[in-house]
Amino acid sequence: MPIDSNATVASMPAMIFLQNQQRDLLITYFSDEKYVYRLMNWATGEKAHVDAYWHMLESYTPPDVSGKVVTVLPQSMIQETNLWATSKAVRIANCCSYYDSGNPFPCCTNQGNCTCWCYYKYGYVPFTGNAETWWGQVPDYPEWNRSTSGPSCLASIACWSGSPGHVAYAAYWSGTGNVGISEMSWCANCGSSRSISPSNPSQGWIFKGSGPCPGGVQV
Amino acid sequence: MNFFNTAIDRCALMLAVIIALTLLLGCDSRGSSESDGVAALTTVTVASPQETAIPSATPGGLTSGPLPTATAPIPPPTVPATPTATSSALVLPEPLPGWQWRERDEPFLYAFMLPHSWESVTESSQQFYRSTETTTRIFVEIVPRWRVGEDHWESWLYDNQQQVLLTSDLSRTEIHANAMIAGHPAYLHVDQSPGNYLATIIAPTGGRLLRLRLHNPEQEPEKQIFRTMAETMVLSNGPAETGSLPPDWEINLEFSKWPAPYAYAEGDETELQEIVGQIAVVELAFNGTVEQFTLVDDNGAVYTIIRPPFSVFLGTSTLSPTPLRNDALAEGARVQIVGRPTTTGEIVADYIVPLGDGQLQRALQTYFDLRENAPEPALLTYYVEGEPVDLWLRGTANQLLPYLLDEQGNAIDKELLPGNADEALLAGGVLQNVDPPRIVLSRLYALHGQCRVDEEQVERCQYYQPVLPPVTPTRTITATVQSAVVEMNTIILEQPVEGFVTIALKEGRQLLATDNTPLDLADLAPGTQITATGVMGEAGALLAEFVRVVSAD
Repeated sequence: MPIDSNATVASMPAMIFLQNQQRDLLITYFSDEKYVYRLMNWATGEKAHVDAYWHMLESYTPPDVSGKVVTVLPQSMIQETNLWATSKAVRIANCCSYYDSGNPFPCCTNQGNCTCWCYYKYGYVPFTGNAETWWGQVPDYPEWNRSTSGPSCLASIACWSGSPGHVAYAAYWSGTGNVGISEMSWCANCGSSRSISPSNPSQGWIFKGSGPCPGGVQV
Repeated sequence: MNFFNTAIDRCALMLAVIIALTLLLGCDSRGSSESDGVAALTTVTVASPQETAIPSATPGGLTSGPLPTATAPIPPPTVPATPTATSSALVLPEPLPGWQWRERDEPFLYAFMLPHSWESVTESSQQFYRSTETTTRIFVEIVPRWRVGEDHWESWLYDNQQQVLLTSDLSRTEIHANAMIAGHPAYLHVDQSPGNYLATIIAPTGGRLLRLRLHNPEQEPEKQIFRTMAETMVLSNGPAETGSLPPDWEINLEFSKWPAPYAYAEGDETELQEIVGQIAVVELAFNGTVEQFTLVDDNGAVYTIIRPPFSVFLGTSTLSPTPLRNDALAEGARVQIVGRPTTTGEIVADYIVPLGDGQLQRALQTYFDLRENAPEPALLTYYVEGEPVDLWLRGTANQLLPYLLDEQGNAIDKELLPGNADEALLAGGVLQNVDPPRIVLSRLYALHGQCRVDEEQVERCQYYQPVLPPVTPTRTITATVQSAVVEMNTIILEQPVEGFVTIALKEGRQLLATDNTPLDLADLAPGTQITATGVMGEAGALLAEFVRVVSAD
């Protein structure tokens, strides 16, 4: 669907909009026909941050332009954004520059946490506590299931026992062979990928929902 | 104008006030829309079908009640004279100012108090409560899966600790009644493992299991709120008694030390070694961290470098070694390490510095148990380059004293160190001198509980309590008034601020208008912005000595 510009930045047509259901991501696109530029501002609840964003837009001049440039920003968008920025502080959880409002798992001084990462990748998990305990909590939540034979065809989380254990997000699996996982590690890893066998996680795989999956699902 | 569809893949320059591209990239492999992060995080604030929120009484309807205090061990709030009439069989006392009763019926009636500014959230069929300020969560549930008698519940809890307490390393003797919930014996367990803080209270009642959980509190007053909630619970099937949690539970801190899977070599081979070289092969632990790597020095000698185990204190902070991201230890990277050899020939690196990236990033061993290994000047010499280093020392008062300086650089008076000669203390401070090693004492914790070694050989000490700095430092917050309860000398805040939900005014306190003239509490209008200075009181209250109006709404 074609998208029309609603602003002008440095004499270039631009598109400004608020994204997400929480409308906490302010994005501006503009293009000089060679490149597309994208400026994004995550809501912090501080109006000064939004003001700085508007100032960046208003003062931006492309490096190869010497003359005066024109920037016109939609007043309705400015008003809506300013209202949103000052009405309520938006919770922002930052882990390794990943912003996830409402994520209850802490990050080790911005150096990673496997539970925080799985919560973020999955969007939400009902589990609390250390990674080693997630497997044992699954029966508490009827919508969640466990498998010891491999990941589900649904989004899955790999679980390892230990103290404090480990969890990782199953990013890719064709249904056979190794599973591509995405993970953070406590205080050591801000996000990495590797390939493991389906039997590698010492506890198994957990996922929300059930359905026809290659290899079946053991609940 | 339609340029986005054709040119977006050529995006070459991204300016971001706060870069969020990583989030977009991170979302690309989610499974179903149901589990999409954005949708899931847009939570709906509702009361569950079983829950009824009973709002606070109006200020004029209040009679008397507890006034938070700063110092004394926290008694359960007294039951005010005027009960709240509800449609249920529960007779509930008036809630604390700024708090409200939440009543549930699953499978029997019970009720608990929470600040009005905490919201009820239901996500994926799971209900919990959270502050509107932080991600701290409180779970309250009668667990339907388990039935347990009240006679042998401790042994039952030991057998089912993995499922119920979300831990697996408690011994049979450790699980015993250490709390009371509405007249029922209960067990409070606090787990402060890496990346996690979870306080769980288990109380068997009516053949069921009442479970209260506090997950990852971000602010100290939130622990007080959990305490008040637990101690004021009302159950329809139990005696009409208040509850109690262990004294000073909120300020207890667990220390955990993971085992070393090696032994140091003896004799001349124990000398510290400095090695500079290129990382050849990296071996990851099962959880993705760099467990060990092969280092080839400039002469072609090959070393196997292993990293020391870590220690954790304060729940969600790694004490030592200081973190070093895996990407700094990639294959091909050039690093400098300092360490000692093990009996099997590996080098345990207490000091790792990636070289050549123009950015000083160091992994340091900053924890030293004086009962096992004192900090060596030869090692600390490497620490003095760059930013000041915080060290943690563990030992008895006599062992610690030689290492400690005050802010003026003078030796610490032994009288300042608590405990007897055998009691283990944890001291923290900035490294001031290398040879002999000295730190400027800024934090001191005394062991309050016991230490044990669990099945994973992790040493867990429950608990340490802070001696320095003081437990209740003076705080200043800026907040918006929701209402003022003159009879209770209390200001209810519109939203939590640094965990505080109310401001309790001390005797003789000052309440000033914007022009510094005295102001009556009754004249404090809703929506007024104030600053308040005081110390932490009970039940999420700031016990304030000074309050000043910043601006009227």
